[in-house]
Amino acid sequence: METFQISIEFDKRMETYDVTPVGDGVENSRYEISQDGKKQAEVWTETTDLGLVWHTRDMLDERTLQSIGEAIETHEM
Amino acid sequence: MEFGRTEEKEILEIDHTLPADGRLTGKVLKNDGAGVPLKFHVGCGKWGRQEWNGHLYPEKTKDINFLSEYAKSFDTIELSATFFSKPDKQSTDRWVDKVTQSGNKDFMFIPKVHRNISHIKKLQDCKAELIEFLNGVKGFGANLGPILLQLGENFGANYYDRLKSFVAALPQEHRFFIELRDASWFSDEIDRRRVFDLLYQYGIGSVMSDSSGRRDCLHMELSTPDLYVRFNGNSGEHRYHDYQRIDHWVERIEGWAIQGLKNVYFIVHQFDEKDTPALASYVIRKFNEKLNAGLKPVEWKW
Repeated sequence: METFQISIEFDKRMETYDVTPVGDGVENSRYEISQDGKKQAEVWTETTDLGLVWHTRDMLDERTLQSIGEAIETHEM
Repeated sequence: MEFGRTEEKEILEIDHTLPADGRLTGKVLKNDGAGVPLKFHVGCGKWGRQEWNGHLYPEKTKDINFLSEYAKSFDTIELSATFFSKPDKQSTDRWVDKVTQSGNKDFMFIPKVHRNISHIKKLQDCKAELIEFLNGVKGFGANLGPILLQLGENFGANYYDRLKSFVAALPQEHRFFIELRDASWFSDEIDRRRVFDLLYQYGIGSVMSDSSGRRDCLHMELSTPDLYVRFNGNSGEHRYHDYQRIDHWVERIEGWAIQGLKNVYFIVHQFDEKDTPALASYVIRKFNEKLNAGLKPVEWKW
């Protein structure tokens, strides 16, 4: 799968990220998030009572993580 | 840009009327609508939305109860979670428990085939993965609906042979619907005929994607007497325009019902999901009013 872009609004400012699927993604899907060529985080999915939730081990606040996750979901909708 | 999305300023310039019936539709619908009553299933693509509290769910509903509350309103969910994460027994058991708690024993999960099969392996050498996926969704038991296989925008008519091999090997015990997105399936009449004839031959349903930005995907070809619409609303100031688009579907379904359509799966999406159930609520109201669908009305508090 190819890299695609997502745009997220933070405090009335649009931020654009490159999203690259990584790994085989057999269990849970993983994506590398980068901006201006610099890796920002790696995120992955898990199923819970909410349906799908997003996780990361990198320094992303919860709101940003959820916004990125939702943008990926919308892109793949 | 997401699939089917278009620039805000272009939306009202696009012709949103539904195209004429496809070539296959008349062959599949055999004017025998007087027999089996048409069944309707309307739902969304998510349930875990905190902003639906106070609108669809009671105020202060906890995350853990969202699915139970969703199942009190809707009888269907298109489950994109299984596109991202492999369905495991723990999850399916938990979700089935939630809808059982809601009292909606007829609730239907429509799982979307994992992206490893559809988008990464592109249907090649993935027999083991498909078996694993199907074993996973068997966990839904009596609540398992049809299975959605969405093929990517770069899976075009040049992959026909691969699609044919995959479809021919699908187990008969499950019902599948396939969504084609690559423009080449629709732009060439020979490729178009070939692929819908293939779905017809194997009894696979064809998904109709109704979005502003990809009107070509609105092929109107029924490959089985079952309609599966993935409706992408534009929401916001386009809400009433979305309603008009729904009204077009009601008219078309009314005609197809007379001709023998058996099932309608109508899944509502929006790029901004904050009030998607409101649009789904409108679908249910119109289906009940015009088509005697007998669905439970859904209340969305604005």
